[in-house]
Amino acid sequence: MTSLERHASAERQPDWQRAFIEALTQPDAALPGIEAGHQQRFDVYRNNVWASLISALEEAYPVTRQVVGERFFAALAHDHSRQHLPRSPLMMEYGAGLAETLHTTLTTLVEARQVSAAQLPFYAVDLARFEAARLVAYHAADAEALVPTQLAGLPPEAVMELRFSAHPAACLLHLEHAVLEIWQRHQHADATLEGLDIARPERILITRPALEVQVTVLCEAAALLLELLLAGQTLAGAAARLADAHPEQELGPLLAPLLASGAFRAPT
Amino acid sequence: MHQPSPSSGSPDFGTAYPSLDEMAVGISLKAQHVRELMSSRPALGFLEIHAENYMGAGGAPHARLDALQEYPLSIHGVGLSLASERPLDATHLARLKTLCERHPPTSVSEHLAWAGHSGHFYNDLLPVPLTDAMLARVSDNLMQLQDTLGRQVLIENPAHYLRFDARELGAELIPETHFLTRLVERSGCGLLIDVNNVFVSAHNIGIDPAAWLESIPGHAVGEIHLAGHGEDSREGLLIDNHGAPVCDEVWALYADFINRIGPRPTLIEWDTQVPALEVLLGQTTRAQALLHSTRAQQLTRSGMEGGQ
Repeated sequence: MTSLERHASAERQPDWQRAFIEALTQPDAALPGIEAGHQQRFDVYRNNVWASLISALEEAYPVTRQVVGERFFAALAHDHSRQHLPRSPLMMEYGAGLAETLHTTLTTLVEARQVSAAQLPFYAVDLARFEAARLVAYHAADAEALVPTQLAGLPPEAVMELRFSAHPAACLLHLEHAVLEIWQRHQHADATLEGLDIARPERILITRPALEVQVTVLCEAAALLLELLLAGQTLAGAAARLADAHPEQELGPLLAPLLASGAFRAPT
Repeated sequence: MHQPSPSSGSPDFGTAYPSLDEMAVGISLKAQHVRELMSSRPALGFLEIHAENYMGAGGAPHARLDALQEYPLSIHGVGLSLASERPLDATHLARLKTLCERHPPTSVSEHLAWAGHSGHFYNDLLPVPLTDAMLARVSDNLMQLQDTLGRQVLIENPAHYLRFDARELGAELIPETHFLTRLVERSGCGLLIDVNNVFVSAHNIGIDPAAWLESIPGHAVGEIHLAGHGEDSREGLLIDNHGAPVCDEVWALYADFINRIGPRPTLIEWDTQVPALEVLLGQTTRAQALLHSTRAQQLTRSGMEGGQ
């Protein structure tokens, strides 16, 4: 074998795997290197790959799927999987951007004047963000959460000078719809959104102080407090900012739900 | 306890790492069975997990393994792409090592397959033309994996759906059992023989499953998988979907196989349309009975030899 031939032979295999991948995405493409009579059988891999990605998305977004309907979701998952292949073998991380694909899809339908925006469940975009954030929290690193009793022993001045760090599972979502109640109602069969003001902006804090994911709806001021603290402000600094933005609010009742839900990491 | 021993000249990982008991029968660990497993604590030889499902940073999956740590653990990877022509993904290799340190396994296995290309992952075990170049590639990757983990890894035979054309590939193809045997010799790996995959492949690409199993070197076999399959009516193919009970033909092939090579740790694998735990335990009872009868026959045979 000449060195040129050796080179060609070494190159052949990666080319074949590339050809395989290209054939996966093209329904009628022939795959080189397999028996002529077995070309149709290549569909087994086409089915396996795309069906497994779609089913991973279905598992990650059960309520979004319920809301948009199985057929619409299947089409959405089909499009999303072709545009966004997994970047790693950790399927628990797959599909993080589905909300954006859904938003684009719904917007395109409106722009194409096939249907009016009011007829489409745009709230499902927020719902998908919510379901994705819950999954991230479910798999986040374990850490002890800061509990109120850990602050109780400190003199008040010391508490005001504390800086807080986020618990690894904590995440604050600013959503345009009343997603928590939509999600809760869909935990039962025959869910209806009757009597619910869907277009109500919501700030949702997702935490996982132990193994269970917790969801807490925050008022605007509490959400601001959380953001200020996680940006490195002391409690005193955050209180000063809050006094400007929400003079009617007291610090204690705003901090309480943040501590109770396990938004902060305990000092080590 | 059985420990597949590498042939002379191949890397030796010693016996410092544990291995499954040869009479052990296990099941795939499924989230929906955890509560029942924890309360009823059935007698199982081991639990097997897909490595990638436990590579998150924390939370319930890890807590689950901690709570069930009385059972020996088999870590079965599906995402390392040992048969990729590209080098192993160092990040993923490190994840697997971290998992093995966090939940020390009694057995580690992966597949003779590839699943990724150019930074994308396809979530399926993709087919491999078995050439000399591929043998060198998989063997190198396996040695890197075994060196990283400091232990032997078992490699599983895949289910086949199509036949390669050597002439069109421009390379000679090696029969699968020869490929696996040479892989054992070269890398010091062990084999995980999936009898359902042999059965499915035999149907799909026309091989004799009994002859296939006959030409597997028994000493290298460290684990056996048993699973059910489905059927694709359009192409008349059997599909390895792990979604049904083990069929009678596969039980028969399994019985003959262990009768020849001796008892081996055996997994009932069921990943889709997962049934009640009770159903899985029913399948393990059947496997256990076959292992016991094999063991009894072995003892009888050795007793007769001893008496002569």
